[in-house]
Amino acid sequence: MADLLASIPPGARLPRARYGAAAGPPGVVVRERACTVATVAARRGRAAACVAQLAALTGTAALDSPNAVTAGDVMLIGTAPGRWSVLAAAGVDLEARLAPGLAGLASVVDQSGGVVAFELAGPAMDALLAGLVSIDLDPSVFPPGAAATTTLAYIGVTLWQAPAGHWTFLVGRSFAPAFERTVAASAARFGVAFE
Amino acid sequence: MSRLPRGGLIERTRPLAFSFDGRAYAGFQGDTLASALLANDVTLVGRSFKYHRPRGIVGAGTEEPNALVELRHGARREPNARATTVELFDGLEARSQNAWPSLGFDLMAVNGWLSPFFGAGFYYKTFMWPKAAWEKLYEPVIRRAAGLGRAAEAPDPDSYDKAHAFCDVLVIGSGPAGLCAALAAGRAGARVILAEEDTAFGGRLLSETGPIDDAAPAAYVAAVLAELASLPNVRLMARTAVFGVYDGGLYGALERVADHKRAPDAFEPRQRLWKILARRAVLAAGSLDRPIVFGGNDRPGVMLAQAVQTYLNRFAVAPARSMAFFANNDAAWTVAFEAADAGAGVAAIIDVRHAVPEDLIAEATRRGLRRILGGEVVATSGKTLRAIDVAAAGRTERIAVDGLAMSGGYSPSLQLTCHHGGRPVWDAALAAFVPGRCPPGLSVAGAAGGVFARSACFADGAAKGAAAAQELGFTAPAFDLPSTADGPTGGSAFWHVATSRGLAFIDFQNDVASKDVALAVKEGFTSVEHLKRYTTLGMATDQGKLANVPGLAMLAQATGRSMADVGTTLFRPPWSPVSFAAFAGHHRGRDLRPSRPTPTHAWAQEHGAVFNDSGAWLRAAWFPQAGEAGWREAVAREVHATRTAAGFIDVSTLGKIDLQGPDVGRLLDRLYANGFSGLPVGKLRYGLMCREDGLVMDDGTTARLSEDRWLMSTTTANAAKVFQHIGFCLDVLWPELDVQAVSVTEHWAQIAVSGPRARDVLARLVDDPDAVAAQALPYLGVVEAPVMGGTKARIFRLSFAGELGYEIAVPADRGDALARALIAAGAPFGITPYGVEALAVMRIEKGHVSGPELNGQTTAADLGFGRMMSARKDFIGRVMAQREGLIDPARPALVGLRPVDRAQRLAAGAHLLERGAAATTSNDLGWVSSACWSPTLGHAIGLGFLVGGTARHGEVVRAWDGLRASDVEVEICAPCFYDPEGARLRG
Repeated sequence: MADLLASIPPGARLPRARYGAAAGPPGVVVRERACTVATVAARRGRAAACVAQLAALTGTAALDSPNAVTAGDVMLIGTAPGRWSVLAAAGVDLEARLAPGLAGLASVVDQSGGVVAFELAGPAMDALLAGLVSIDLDPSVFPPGAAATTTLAYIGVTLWQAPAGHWTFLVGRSFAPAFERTVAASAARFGVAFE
Repeated sequence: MSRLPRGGLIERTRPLAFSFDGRAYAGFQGDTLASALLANDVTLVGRSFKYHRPRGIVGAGTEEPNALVELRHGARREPNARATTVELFDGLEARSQNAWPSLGFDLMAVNGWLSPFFGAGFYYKTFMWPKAAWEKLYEPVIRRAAGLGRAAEAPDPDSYDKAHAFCDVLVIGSGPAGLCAALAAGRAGARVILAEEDTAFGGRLLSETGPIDDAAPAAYVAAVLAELASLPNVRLMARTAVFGVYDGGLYGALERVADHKRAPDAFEPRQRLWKILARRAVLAAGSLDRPIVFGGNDRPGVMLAQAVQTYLNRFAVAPARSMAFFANNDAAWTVAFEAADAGAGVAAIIDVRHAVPEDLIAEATRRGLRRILGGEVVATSGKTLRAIDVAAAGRTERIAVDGLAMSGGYSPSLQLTCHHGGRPVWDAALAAFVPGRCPPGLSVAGAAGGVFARSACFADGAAKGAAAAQELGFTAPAFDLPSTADGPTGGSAFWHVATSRGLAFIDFQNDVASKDVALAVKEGFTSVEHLKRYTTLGMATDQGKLANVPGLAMLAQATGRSMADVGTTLFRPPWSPVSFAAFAGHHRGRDLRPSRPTPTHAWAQEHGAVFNDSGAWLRAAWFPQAGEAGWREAVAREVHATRTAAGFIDVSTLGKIDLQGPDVGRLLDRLYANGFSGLPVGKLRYGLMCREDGLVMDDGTTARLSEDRWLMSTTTANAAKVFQHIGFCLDVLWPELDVQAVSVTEHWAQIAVSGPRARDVLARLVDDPDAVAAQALPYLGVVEAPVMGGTKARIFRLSFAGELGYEIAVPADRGDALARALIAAGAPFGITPYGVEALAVMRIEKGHVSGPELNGQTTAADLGFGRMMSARKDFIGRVMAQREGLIDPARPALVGLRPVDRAQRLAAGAHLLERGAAATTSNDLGWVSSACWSPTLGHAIGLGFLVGGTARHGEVVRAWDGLRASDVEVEICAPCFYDPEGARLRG
C-alpha cells in the first residue's frame, strides 16, 4: 500500500479521486467544506459574560465546554476554556461581525485563510475513527454535539459529529495534504473517495 | 507421519501444502508450522545461537526459544518467527536459519566442540586485545557465527495500521479464567475487550481433554464465545497479543491481521498496533511449563510436557513414536496418560519424587505404563533424540526413545504485572514466582496468579471479572460456574540434575548452560542482575519465559540462598516481539511526519523550485533556470537580482502570534530582553527573547497594530515553542495579565519583497500606492492596506536580506495569488523569486543571526546584543544571564570571518585555532557557525564565535575542519559584510 500515495508529492493535495479498495460504494467519503473561521478568546475572567454575549450575537446555545452548537449558518465549537472556533458560511467577515459586540469581553481573530474543514462520512467511519483518533468516540462518551481538539498523526485537529454519521475535522491549511494522506492510507481498505 | 488418526481441533478436510528448507510437506487448517512439522516427523528445526547445536521444538506457543525460522522470501522475508506461533497457510515457505552450509551439517557446530572455552563472558575476556581488531576482525566474525536470521533487504511491501480502543475491562487471555472474567464483566454491562494472542480463543482448554459440564472443553469454549459475541458491549480480539502496560491504563497490543496469509489482501494491513485504554484489566495469561536442567536437555525431541499435551489434543500429533516423561509433578502424568490413550508410545514416566499419589500409580498401572520413581535423566544421545540415560536407585539405564517430555512445574505468566516496576514474589509452596504489586487497575486471575486447578481458574476468573466491573459501578449478576473435574496439580521443586553428563541448558535461545551459572557465581556475579548480564540468561527474544526460574534456582543453590533471597529480574515490554513496522504504521518514508507546504507551494513547483525540509515545512530552496550549472549559480543569480533590482521569498513559515488585550505591552516587556510597551501604534521592533536560564531562545519582530492588538513573529523553528512559552507565562507565571494569544501562522501567507526596486513593485500591488510611500511607511513601520483589488493585507517594512524591503501578509488562501501578482507587478523591474539558500547567503552577508547562532548555547552578549538587555525592567532570563559563566569576558563572541586567501572556501563547523597551534581541544578558540560564498563580495564569508573575538578584528586565525580536512587562515572582522550602516534598509 506504500504504492497508494507513492506518485503523489508529499506537499500536494490529493487529486480528487477514489483510493484503495474499488469494489462497492466507498467506505468513506471526504468532502472539503467551504467556510470562514475565527477564534474567539475570552478576556481574563470574562468567560461567562462572553458565553452569554456569544449566545446573543449568534443565536446559539453557546457553552463554555467542548461542544459544537449551531444556529442558522453559525457554529460555535469550544476548543479550550473560554475559547471557541466560530464557523460561518464562506465570505462572512467574522471579525467585523463579532468583534464590536464582544469588545471588552473577548478577542476575535480571523482564521479563515488558515483552516480547512473536511467532512467525512460513510459506513466505515467508526473503524476509520478508531484508527485515526486516540480518544473515546463511543456514543456513551462522545455523543453527537461533542467536540474534541486533539492531534492525530502529528496533525492538530478539532473534530465533531453533526449530524450523526458526519464528522468534521478542522485542520491547519499546511497540514491538509498530510491529513488527506493519513485518511487515504487508513481508509484504503474500505475504499475512500475524495470529492 | 505422526498425525493421530482422530481428534484434535484441526480441519482435516482442509489440507494445506507448505515447504521447509525447500522440501514439500502437508498439514491442515488449524495447524501451526510447528505442529505440521512434527506431524511430518521433522524434529530438527534449527541451530542454536552460539554453539550451533541441533535444536527442535520445545514449546507450543509464544514461549518457544528454539524453533526460530525464516518465513517467505524476497521483500517479505522475515527472520526469527517462532514456528509454534506461525499459523499454517497454503504455500507457506519456511527455512531454518543460523546454519551453514545446511541444517543437517552445520560447520559452525565446531563452536560446540569448543564449548569448554566459550563460557560466560568469553567474548569480553578473549577479544579485548588488540583494541583495533574488535571492529575489523572479531565483531564481524562473531556476528557471522552467532546471531539469528536474516532481515529482508528490500523495503517491506506491506502496510501497517494503528488503532485505538477503549473499554471498562480488558481481559488478557482466554483460558478458563479469561473466559469467565470476560463473561462476568460482560454480563454486568461493562464494555469488555477480550484479547487473545492465539488464533483461537480458549487458552489451555484447547489443549485439554477433561470434560466441562459433561462435554468436551471445546464445546464449552464455543458456548461462552457465542454468548460473548452476542453481547454488544463485548469485543473479541483474536490474534492480538497485549504486549505492554503503560501509564494511565494504556495497554499496547499487536494484532496479527494478515500474518496467516501468504500476503495481505489488497489494502489490508499486515499488522495493527492497538492502544487500548482500559479502566480495569484482568490478566489471565495462564502459566508455562518449565524445563529441567539436565545433560543434553536441548536435543531435538526433548519437549515440555505442556507442549506435548497441546500437540496431542489440539493438533492431533504425537511428537514422537516412543516417548518418556521426566517430571517433578502430577500434571505431567496426566499428559502421559493422554498420550498413551491417544495411541502414542509411552516408554516410561520418570519422576524425581520417590512417592507420588496412589491414583497416579493406579492409572499408570491400568495403562501398563512403566514408571521410575526417584529417577533422573542424566544424559541424552542422538543428533535428534535416540536414547536417554536414566539414573535411579544407584544404577543408570539407557532407554531408547525418540521423544522426552520434561516438566519442572509451572511458572505463572505474570510478565505484564512487572511493567510498572512490580516485583514478583516467590511462593515456596507453589515453587513459583507469583505477581507482586500490579499496575494500577490490573488484577490477575487463574494460573497467571498461581491458581492452577481448573475449577479454581473458572471461579477466580469470574470473581476477578465481576470485581473489575463492580469497581466501576456495574452490578454483576450471580455467576454459575461450570462443573469440571480437576486434574492433579501436586509437585515438588526440582531444577537441576547434578549428576548430568554433557551440557545442561538453562536458556536454550542464548545457549546458557548450567556451567555458565557456576562460572558466574565463581567470578562473583551473584546478584540476579549481574548474572543476567554476565551470562545473557533471559536476554533473548523470549525474555527467559522458560529459562528464568531454573536459572535463578541454580543461582540460589550455588550461593546457598533461598529463591526469595535471590529474587528475580523484572520483565519489560514487550511480552512478545513487536515489529518496528507496527510502531511506525503509516509514518514511514515521506510520511514519517507531516510535510507542510507553504501557501505558495504549488506556484513554486510550477516555477521549478527545488524544495528543502525546514522542520516539517517544505520550502523552496532555489529556483534553477535552464543553463545553470548547479545550485550555487542559481543562488548567485537570485542574490544578485535582489541586491540590484528586486527579489521575493515566501516567509509564511515564520511563527505569527496575534496578541490582544490591555496587558500585551507588559507581557512583551517581560518576554523580550528589550523594551516594547512604548512601541507606537503602526511600528514594529526587533526583539530578543531569553530562556529562564539567561540564554537566547528566539528572536523576531513584534508589530503594534492598534492600541491593544499586536502581532509577534518568531523564527520558523521556534513557532510552536514560543506560542507554548507564552501560554505557560499567561497561565502559570502571570495569570493576572489580560492577554489573549492566538496562533495565526496558518492564517497569513507572508511574502518578503526586497531590493532597491521593492517599493516600485509594491506600489503596483497595493490598491492605494500612497499607503506605501516612503513617508507613509517608513523603515520598521506597518500598515494595513488592501492589495490585488480588495484583498486584506498587512504590510511590514523590514528586510532580513538587508535591502529596502517589505513583508506582505494576506490570508493564506490568497498566498498563491499574491506570488503570481508579484511576478506580474515586478516584471518591469526584473523581479526574481529566491529561495532559502539565497536568503541564507544574504543574511550572512548582512550578519543577521539565525538558527546556527541561536543554538541554545549563546547569550545576548555573545551575539553582540548585550546593550539590548534592558536595565530598566525585569524580563525572563535577566537574572540568570548575570551568572559568572555567562558574563565571562572569555566567552566566544560573534565575529565575521573571511579567508585570507580569498580563493579559499569556508565551512560551518570548523574550529577556530591560533596559527601554529595544534588542533587539540585545549587550543580550541571557537567555531564557524555559518558560512557561504558571497556572490556580492566574490569570496567566502562566515560568521563564528571566537574567544575575545570583539577585540581581535583584523587579526588572523585558522578555521580548521578535521571532518572535511580543510585548514584555512581567516581574517577576523565585524560580523557584517554588507551595508553596515543600513542605508539600503532605510532608503
